[in-house]
Amino acid sequence: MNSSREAIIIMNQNEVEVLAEIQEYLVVNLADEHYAIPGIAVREVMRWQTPTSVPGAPAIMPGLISQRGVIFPVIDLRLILGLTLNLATRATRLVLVEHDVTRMALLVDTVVDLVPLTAKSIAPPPAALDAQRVRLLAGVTTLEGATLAVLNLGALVAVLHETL
Amino acid sequence: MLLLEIHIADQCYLAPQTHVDHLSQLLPTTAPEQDDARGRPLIYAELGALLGSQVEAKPDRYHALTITLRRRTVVLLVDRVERLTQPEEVHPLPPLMRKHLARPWFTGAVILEQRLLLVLDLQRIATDVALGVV
Repeated sequence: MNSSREAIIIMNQNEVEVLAEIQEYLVVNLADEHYAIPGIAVREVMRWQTPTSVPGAPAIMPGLISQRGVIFPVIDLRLILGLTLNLATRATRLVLVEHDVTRMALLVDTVVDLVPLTAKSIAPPPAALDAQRVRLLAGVTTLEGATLAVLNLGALVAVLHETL
Repeated sequence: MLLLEIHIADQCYLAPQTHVDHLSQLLPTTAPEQDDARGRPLIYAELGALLGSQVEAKPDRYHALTITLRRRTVVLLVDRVERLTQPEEVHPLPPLMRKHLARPWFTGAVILEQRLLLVLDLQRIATDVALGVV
């Protein structure tokens, strides 16, 4: 009786540990590549709207948008990752994220899904990638047979604060 | 804070009324004034060109914003000044963007009638024009 009760308790603890490891990620598409954004930082996903362009801003920041009275700089993730630019379509989205005190609207080609990932399933980024991309990635994993690159928002914010 | 609504091509900006000493209409048929009240040559500049506007078609008339600095007077030409507005709040630009701007020419942004408009620092722009750095 006691041993079966202990077994149940141990199983539940394992489950708790596994559940604690799982984090949700928003999977987005950028130039036909899949990237995952930590769900904990995602505030909202918006349809594309032309941002207010700011003269003298770098190309990576095509402008500002406001949502519910809050102003966000739009960040073109494709440019910072060195990917091909596509024209905005009906599928283009702005992912509003907040990392520490930094708010930004990440421009992505499409939003694919919200998926749970465990930390164990994420491997370090391949060394073959260029240094900038390696710096911006927390790691890579696979999703339905395709490579999924997990973005490191802390590194992204650090890169954006540096001279572009 | 009272802000002037300034139109340049298809762009709309705001600017503090206190930055402008004089607002006038400049017709293409009339010769613009050459000197300020102290006899110093006025410096004219197209605000649209300074802000990177690529529109080549010139309007039939301009509005001229006169900004008096300590040593010089600068006249910034714009397509038109539409009205005065008093928004509830001027938001600072996000630090992430502000630090990367080529010139510190914006004091913030305003959400006005569901549009996001930039607030120009005309004193700063006029100073850069007077110094010849742009």
